[in-house]
Amino acid sequence: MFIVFFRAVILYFIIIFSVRLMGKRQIGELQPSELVITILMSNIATLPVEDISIPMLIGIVPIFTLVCLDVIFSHLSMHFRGLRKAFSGSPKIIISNGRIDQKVLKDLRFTADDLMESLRSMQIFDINEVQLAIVETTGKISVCQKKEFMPVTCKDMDIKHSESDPPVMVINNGERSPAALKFLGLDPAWLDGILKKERIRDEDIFIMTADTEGKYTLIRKCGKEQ
Amino acid sequence: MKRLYLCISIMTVIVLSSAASLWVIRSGNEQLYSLAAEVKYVYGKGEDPSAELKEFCDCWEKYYVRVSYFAASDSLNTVYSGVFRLQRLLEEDSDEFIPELESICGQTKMLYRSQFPHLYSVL
Repeated sequence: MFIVFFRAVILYFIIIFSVRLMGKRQIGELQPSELVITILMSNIATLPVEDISIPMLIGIVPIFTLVCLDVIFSHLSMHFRGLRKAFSGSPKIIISNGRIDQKVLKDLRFTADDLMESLRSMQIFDINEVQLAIVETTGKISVCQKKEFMPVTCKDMDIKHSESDPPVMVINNGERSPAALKFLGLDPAWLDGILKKERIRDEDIFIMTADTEGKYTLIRKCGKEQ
Repeated sequence: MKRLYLCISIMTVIVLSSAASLWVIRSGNEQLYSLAAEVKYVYGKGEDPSAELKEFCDCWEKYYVRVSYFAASDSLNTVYSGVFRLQRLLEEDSDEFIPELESICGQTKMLYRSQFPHLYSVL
């Protein structure tokens, strides 16, 4: 019983480390090779937990081998296009200039329903609105609408505006983030000044965000409202 | 890039550990074979090989712990039961003593072969 418990604890940390090793991409959209590794990893990890006659290393070695191979090959595929194509495939154009390429659609085993479903998820209900649609290597469809159906932008309206980063959280649950202040180009003295003006202490703040221009939003903790 | 170097390091450690595991089994086997030969020699002379057998069993205990890290305990436990039988067979002066000793050596040899990456075992 204890063996299973300790093995489960060890494997928990090993799998978290392995997924972190694979990088952020792993948590988001899976490439074919990453999907294979994720499925294999979940199976392999259970073997030494279920069967105590199997040494723990028999489970750990293949997990690390698969993850390391994935990282090494993804680095190699950055330099070799052929390898990238072999491992992840290549994007396919399914709608070009408003016309559906039925042959590609058939090759990808995509039905018209799949296509319409993906378009609808992007708020496109009329296929005539699509200029170009591409099936990415992850299986997701990227769509470029025809100019006439595209939403109006500031550029179209010739509206001038300054480029600035969105607000960043400088205090989270009473805890200051020096990195956020540094990112905004603000110093702790500025923050001290604001808190003095608002007559509030760090520990009474739930969230405080600020932008590069020094504009801020302050949300007090429950029961600390003035 | 740090991630790549870390992965290359892990892979290197895995390959080196795999080679080390083979070396551990092989050196352990050689030690067991030489002790088994001593037991057989003393037994063959008609003397009491209890001391040599104890040394053989102690060596097996250490071997078992070391090899347990990378070999399935099922295969090791089979050999273990044979080692337990040896003492009793010696006390009974059984004819099966030497064949049992040889069987243990044979099984440890099989264990090494099962861990070695031959094409037939990989595929």
